[in-house]
Amino acid sequence: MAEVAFQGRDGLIRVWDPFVRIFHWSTVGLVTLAFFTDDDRAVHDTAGYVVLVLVLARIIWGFVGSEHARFRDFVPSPRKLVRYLADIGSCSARRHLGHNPAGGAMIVMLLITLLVTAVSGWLSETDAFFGVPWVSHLHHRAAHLLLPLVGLHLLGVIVSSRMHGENLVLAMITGCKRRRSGRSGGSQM
Amino acid sequence: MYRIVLTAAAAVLLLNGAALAEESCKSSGKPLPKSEIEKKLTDQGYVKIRGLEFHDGCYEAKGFDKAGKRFELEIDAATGKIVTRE
Repeated sequence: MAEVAFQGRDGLIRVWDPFVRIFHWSTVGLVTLAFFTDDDRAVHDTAGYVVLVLVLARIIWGFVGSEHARFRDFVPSPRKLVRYLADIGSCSARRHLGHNPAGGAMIVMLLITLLVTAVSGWLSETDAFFGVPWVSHLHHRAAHLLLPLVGLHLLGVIVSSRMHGENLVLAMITGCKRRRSGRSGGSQM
Repeated sequence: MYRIVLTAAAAVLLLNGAALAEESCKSSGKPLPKSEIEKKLTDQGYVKIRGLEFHDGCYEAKGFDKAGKRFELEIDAATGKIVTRE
């Protein structure tokens, strides 16, 4: 099941499989779209339903997907997370090919928040839950929680990219990362 | 690249502030009590009121009308008049 490590030019290695990348960028686009169309039901709702399907697929992929797509590979224990954060503070954070512990924790929070947002949004359009205050409150709260989370996620991408001399945004587009830390050779920025 | 990501991060955080400052509904005078709004709505056929909440001078009501159709109303809190129906 594990993807055969593809190693090409410049010691690049395939880290993010196509589904992870399609999921990532589609979610970015659709959540942005939904955020700005909350008064256009048709667009907002459709975007939300697609996000719901994508998130559910991503969760399944977290169990059966490629190596670095799996939860097993990146969900950190609290201890590991605290230690990694301390390592950033002391400039000794190790580079990870997949998600580092802080990134892994971020993804768990983002997925949960996306799921709560999408499910509560969908519920608020069903006859059973239409107009029920706690459902729409939950939807708003969760949607607005996404903003600081996305901000933190971007901050983490910058910090991690700088620490290890690599371009993580590009890696999420091409799926490739250098096998070794970028400090020793090649420029990717 | 940092600049792009940083700009995006800043934009997202700004949005955060903007999003929290939600639209307000202009209404002057003392808001009527919920029970009175409910009565007015029921009299107008908005019989099954699911949620009735007060936001910045307006009541927002959601539910089903006599015909079983969904309604979403903004109500002037002082007069009890329906401002918009969706």
